[in-house]
Amino acid sequence: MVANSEKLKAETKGLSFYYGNVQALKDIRLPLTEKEVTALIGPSGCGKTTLLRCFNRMHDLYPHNKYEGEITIFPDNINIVDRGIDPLDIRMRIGMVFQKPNPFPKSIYENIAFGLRVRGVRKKTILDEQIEKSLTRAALWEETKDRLQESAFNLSGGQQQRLCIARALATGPEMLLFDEPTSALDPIATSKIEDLIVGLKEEVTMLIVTHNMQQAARISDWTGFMMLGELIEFDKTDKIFTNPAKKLTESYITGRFG
Amino acid sequence: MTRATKDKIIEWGITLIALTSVISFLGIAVVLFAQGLPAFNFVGLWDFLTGRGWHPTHVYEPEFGILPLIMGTLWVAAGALIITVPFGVGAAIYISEVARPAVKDVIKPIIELLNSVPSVVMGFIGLLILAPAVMNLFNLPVGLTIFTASVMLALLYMPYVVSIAEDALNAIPMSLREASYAVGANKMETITKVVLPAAFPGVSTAVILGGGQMIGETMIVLMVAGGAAMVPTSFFEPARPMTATIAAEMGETVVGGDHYHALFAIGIVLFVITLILFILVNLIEKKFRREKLW
Repeated sequence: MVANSEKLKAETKGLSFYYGNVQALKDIRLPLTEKEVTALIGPSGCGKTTLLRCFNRMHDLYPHNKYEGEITIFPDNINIVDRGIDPLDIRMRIGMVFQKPNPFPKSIYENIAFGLRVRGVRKKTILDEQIEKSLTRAALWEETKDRLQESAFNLSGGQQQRLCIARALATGPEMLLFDEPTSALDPIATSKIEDLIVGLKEEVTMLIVTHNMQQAARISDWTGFMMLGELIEFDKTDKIFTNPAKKLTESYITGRFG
Repeated sequence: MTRATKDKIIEWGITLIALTSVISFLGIAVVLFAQGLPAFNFVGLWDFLTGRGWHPTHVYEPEFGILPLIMGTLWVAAGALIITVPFGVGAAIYISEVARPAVKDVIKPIIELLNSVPSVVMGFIGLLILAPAVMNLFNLPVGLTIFTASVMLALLYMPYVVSIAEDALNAIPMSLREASYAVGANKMETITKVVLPAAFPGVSTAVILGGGQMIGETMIVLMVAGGAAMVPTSFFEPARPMTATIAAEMGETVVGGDHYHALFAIGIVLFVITLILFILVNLIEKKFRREKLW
């Protein structure tokens, strides 16, 4: 089911996750190919966001959460969800973009500078340079270069989301997680974000959760279909959307439920 | 009766109820000014505000300078704020950001309970326990000082500041904290660089409102501030804040006399200070709304 010739950036093995006593993920095995986009689809409550948030240990912010199994990140073979691994170290390497744009109540400049400052970057020349670079990569530089000191809240929803992408890119992540990044945006803003994600493939491995199957079909190389906390099927996106192996997958992508 | 008339009656009823608070406010203002303004017939506004002598009952040469009283109020409130801001905001941060839910469930009610301690009890504790301790500790002739009053005021209004500041911190959406953690910030960075700045308008409102309460508080300053009508030069001197002056002297004054009107004029000053603080709170709120920083 996985083309072994491709280089893996990360792989989950036997990953289970519990919110207190409630098991939300069951024995997930999901490989993420380097510098490609992997999409997670499935009905609401299937666990796709829960799975995504395991990758940067977001669940650690809330009590009574428990991981089992492993998420190995390559090339250094570290198990992300190992108790002995500091989630901060993981978040230094894996960025995230959220469902609703969540810029800091600071200027556009400071929004991006924040992650760099957290990493100890103090020099203004380096900050300026990195901020221009990440805004450019997030296709936001032209719109914001003259208003960097303005509040990020003055930007439109789509611009805010691109700012959040720039913020995640600024720190040079190895991997980016997207949690339904366009669900709060209009079609035009959505297509801009999608173009952006496709363009970013050159440099970073991406995992994206989406409710929008067309979106998964448009931008991802691999697709995983989840239901009730299980990864039902995982394959090349073309295969999943044209000739899925499982009946359940076919029912879902043809809109029979979900 | 038609539905429309019923609606009208209810509407008028509610409007009337709402109006009572407006009317009370106006009534208080009218009485205050009607009784206080006559004071300026025998003492100029400038002399009143900047005069250093408060001897309203002197038989031959009464003096009506309230600078010592204004300064007494400001010193006491400033001292209390110096204590309240770090401890109150710190406690709010602890409860909102650091404490585990179980700990929070214990601490929050206790702080709220502290809020219900009557100020006279605080004054009593200050008088019997803190004042002698202050006297001995700092080797002072008397323990009834600005410092003593400030500490007791801080204790009295700490819960108030904590709960408003904590509400402000709680109002910051979790998504903002997640954004901070997701770029690799640790807890301290998230609190100091994201949550606190975002909650700044609310937290500063808490502090200003707390300051307003301290300026208006009467019982504690009456009991432990020492009562000397002199412009203070340090926290370890006694003072006579405006509220304490009114409370102590109103009962012994002749209705309609100069002293009586002067006390009401002090009331006007208090009223104006409170009004300014209230406007300040609103300005902060508006400014941050307009700049869309929250």
